[in-house]
Amino acid sequence: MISQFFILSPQRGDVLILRDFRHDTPQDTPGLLLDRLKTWQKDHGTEQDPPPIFNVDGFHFLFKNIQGLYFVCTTKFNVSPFMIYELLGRVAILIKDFCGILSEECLRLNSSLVYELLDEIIDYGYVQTTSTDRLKSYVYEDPIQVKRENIFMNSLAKLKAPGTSLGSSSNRPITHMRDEKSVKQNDVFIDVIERLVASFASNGMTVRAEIDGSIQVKSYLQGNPEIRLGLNSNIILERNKDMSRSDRYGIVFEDYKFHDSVDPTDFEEHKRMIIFPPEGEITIMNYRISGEVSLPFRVFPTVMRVPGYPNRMDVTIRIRTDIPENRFANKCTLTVPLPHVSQSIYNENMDGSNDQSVQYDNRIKNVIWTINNLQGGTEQSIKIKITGSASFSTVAELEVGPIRQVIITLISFKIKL
Amino acid sequence: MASGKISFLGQQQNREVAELGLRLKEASENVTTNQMGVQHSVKRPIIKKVLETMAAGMDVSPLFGDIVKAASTKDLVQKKLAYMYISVQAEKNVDLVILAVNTFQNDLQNENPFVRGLALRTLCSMRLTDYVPYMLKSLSHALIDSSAYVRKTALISCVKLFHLAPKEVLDASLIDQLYNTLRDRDPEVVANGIAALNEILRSEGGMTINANIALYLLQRLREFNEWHQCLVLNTLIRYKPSNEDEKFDILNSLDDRLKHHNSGVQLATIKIFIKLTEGMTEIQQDVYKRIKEPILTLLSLGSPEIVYSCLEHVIALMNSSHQFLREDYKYFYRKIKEPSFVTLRKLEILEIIATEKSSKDIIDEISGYITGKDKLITQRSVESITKISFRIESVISYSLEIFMKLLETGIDIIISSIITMLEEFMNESPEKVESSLSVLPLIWTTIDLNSKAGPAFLNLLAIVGYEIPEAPYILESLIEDLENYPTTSFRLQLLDSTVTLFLRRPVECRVMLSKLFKISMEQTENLDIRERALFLYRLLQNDIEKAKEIFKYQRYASKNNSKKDNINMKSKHLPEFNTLSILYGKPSEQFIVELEPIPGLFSKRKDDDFFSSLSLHNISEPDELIPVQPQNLVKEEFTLSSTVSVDAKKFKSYWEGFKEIYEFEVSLLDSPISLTRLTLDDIEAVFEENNIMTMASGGTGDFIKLFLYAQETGSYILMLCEIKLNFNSKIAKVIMKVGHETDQIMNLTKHSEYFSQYLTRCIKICFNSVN
Repeated sequence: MISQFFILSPQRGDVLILRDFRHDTPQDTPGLLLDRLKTWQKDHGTEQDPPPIFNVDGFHFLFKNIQGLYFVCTTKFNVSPFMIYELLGRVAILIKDFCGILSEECLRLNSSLVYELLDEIIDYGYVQTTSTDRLKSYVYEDPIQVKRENIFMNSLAKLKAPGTSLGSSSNRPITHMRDEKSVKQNDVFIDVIERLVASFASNGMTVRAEIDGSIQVKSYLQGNPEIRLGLNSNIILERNKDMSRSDRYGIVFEDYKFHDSVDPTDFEEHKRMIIFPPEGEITIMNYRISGEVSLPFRVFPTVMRVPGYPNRMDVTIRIRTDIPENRFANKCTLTVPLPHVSQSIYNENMDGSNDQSVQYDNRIKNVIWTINNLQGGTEQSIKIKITGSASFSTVAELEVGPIRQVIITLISFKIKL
Repeated sequence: MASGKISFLGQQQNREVAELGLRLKEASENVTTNQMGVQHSVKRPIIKKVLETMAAGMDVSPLFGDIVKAASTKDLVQKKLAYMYISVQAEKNVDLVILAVNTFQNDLQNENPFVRGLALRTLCSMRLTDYVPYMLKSLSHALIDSSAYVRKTALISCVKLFHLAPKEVLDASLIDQLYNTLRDRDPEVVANGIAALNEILRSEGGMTINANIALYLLQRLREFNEWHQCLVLNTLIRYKPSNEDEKFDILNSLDDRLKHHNSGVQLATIKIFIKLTEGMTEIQQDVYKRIKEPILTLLSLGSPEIVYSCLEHVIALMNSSHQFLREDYKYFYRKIKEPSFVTLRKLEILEIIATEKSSKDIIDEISGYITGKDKLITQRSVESITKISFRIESVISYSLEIFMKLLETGIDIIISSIITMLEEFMNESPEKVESSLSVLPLIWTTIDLNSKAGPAFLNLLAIVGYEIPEAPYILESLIEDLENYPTTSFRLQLLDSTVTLFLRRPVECRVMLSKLFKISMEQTENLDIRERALFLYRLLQNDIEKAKEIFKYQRYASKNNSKKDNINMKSKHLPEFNTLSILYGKPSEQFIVELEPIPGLFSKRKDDDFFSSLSLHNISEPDELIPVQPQNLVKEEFTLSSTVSVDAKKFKSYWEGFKEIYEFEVSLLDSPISLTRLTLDDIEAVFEENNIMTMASGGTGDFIKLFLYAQETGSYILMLCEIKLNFNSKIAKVIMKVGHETDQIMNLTKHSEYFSQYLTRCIKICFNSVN
């Protein structure tokens, strides 16, 4: 099975954790991986990762980049890559559960706890268990906590979002000790994270749109109590393509899957599920919605040349939000690549609204437009005047784009307990 | 121990270690219990420090005795730490291990099952054959321990013991006991039992699965955790049901596994579904429909690595079911912040699934990726559009329009990629392309001529050169600047193109052609160029008409065929679905190294040597100049090392030892040069230029014999060969042997192919054989 497991920090090439299970890899395997990363990044740029699998003389390396740290398994067997990648992800979450957060410093401080964990998770290369319940009783070391600065959390704190708890309380390690303090904090955090991925053509038509959702539960509850979770009753579970598109008035899940700890028998009928969350973080449900998706944001770009000035161009970008007026989009970033001969820009802020910023990075020729609070039902736009160091080519319009937007929104929903 | 001077650092380290020892001895045995019932000992932090020191590389063996003492404690963390130390240090302190045995003994009887398990695990992980009987005894007790934790640990320890002393394990009839554990009530024990059986019986293909066992495992499947379900499913795949009803039963019972959250379980299930429905076409169509949704979900939700693996598997599936996911091509569009290795695979898929209906959409989408910001993706996108156009003729004009527009961007990587592809287009449908080529003189300065685009550009220029007035002058400036273009393929093409243009426009090209000939013929580094120039010069001198005929533009075999082969190769690996084979695109024999010789052959080796023999990079002798660079086995280019060196003795022993032997003949009947004119030196020089070294050579008037060797760059794989050249019959008889320097058993078919290709080519170059 797995020969070794190690965690690498590529900046200085430090091996933070290395566990050899089968003692059949005589070479400096972390070194081999570092070499591979370096040569790849030399050829392709530092943001690019090489394919997550390679092979040296019969040793296979499978690795995963998690928050800048590389989690790696080596093996000589012809294993299932899916199983290994799932394992790497799961181990990272377990380490986070037991140590509080996942960072280089935290790993250094808690290395003996991590080794204890690894010895119980994998024996001689065979996976034994990744259940936090079990591992809790096998592991005796105490975690040493590390404070983490979370910039994202701080900006959220500016919002008035009632009922959600922030930051440090959800970064506690789970504990195997029952002391009075932890008994009082019987917390559970439930996050519904939906990712809408959509792409548009330049004429405004939607090319594709898809929502990927997951429900994550982080539980500090003692004793594995039962929790019942119900979703909107207007969810329709599509199983076959016989249903014509016009019949549907609800939200259609094309596919979904549950975690083991969920009892989904009631789900098809009433959209309810019963979960017994183990301590720690798990994703209890994943679902996918595609097809007719009402898009909350639309972007309309226009590119125009300036007559008489071959090295000038104007780009106007308008964004319209179709969400209810009392909702806000918290952080909206649009990245607009510009033609490669662009030199500088001038931003004419059309609406005079505050809380926005437009930045231009001349190295990669990108304009980044950041809007901090985008209110529902409104429109924002900017006009960028681009000056190039040379004339724009005849097809320079092609070089404007593709526009990438990333928008993060907190939408509060009601939970009945 | 190093004799003589110990460095200052060494002395310092010894002092530190000694100090730790002192502290250990002095620290009290006191163990306090905190309010939660967890023991804390004073010694614990000291032992931690010892482990840190060990991890830093210092020699902490003097502390062995003290640590063993510290292992008897009620503080469980301390015990674990001490055991960690013992398991690492045991092999270095073989004599002292006996001290630890007492501790093991006690702990194996401890009331706490975790302590028993820990002791067993540590005991069996020490690779010391002297203790094997003791380990065996503890194992057989542990296998029937009351605690599931101990039982499951015992099963894995069986495997460890098997690798250490296989005969003893087989003799002790542990296999039967292992089969019994399959009936255990605890699923973790059952799972470890399966794992143990699969590994110990690996040479027989793993554990035997009959109908009873298969049914039993299917019934209990949901009791297992996600990882063990992967294991069980991957074991069940070997079971062959006896009739169709049984197959359907299995399919039905496994249907819900497709919705498991762990993709390993999902893929293992899909593999079983596909395998069971082999040959039942209609049912298999249903299967493909059924697995579509989970796969699409994985593509959307999965992490990049899982998406990548999934894409590779989708390619394999597409080749056995051509309709698979054809309508869902939009799922293979690029996403934000997607790593390039994922996008490249998606492009590959889009090439395969484009249809008449969807090709225009797909080409529009892909053209959006051609931004020039990411070199790989830009190049690949241009290639993809080209490939789709070749398959679906109706979009050729559309693609060409897009390409022509993109040529105006002025971005060099885009232009270079497009020029390279335009050459292919010329091949497919020259009519459509010719008119657009008038743009060449405007853009040629932005092309990176040292890449593949260079020869492509020259070729295109030559084809339409007689219509473009500037063409000769472009060539002229290139010839002036020749030092800047050292690439062989460029130079060769330059020769061809200048001659072609000369034949059409002799007046303008005469001077530059003669200059080019002069430079090329004075070339000493590159034989190919000199040869080509010589050949062309003589041709033009002797027979202009013939030259005109040869250089009339001809279509050549398109490179597309290689892609089809690639597809076919991938589909053959469906039996190895859900393994690394799909990711490498090769069957497993090509990349799995034999793990160990079959038990029974062990008796020759001493156990100490056992593990050093598994090491692939044995101690290399000082006189060998083999570069120790790790090389990716899965590379596209196979090159020979220029620094290989083998002495006569080694050659002889390898010649006798290598098992892969190939014999073939190379016919030199069409060689224009009289063979006897070449000397041995000439021949050896040609081989050496191609990194094939001569060991020995000799001959009489009618034939010569050569012994040659070569090595793949950065690897230990050697090729030795004997060539017997008969001048009268003009045939070269080759005996080629391929092997690994360190006796490692590997599959060498692919390497042998490459070596033989190289050899044949060299032999032909030697004798100027055409083709």
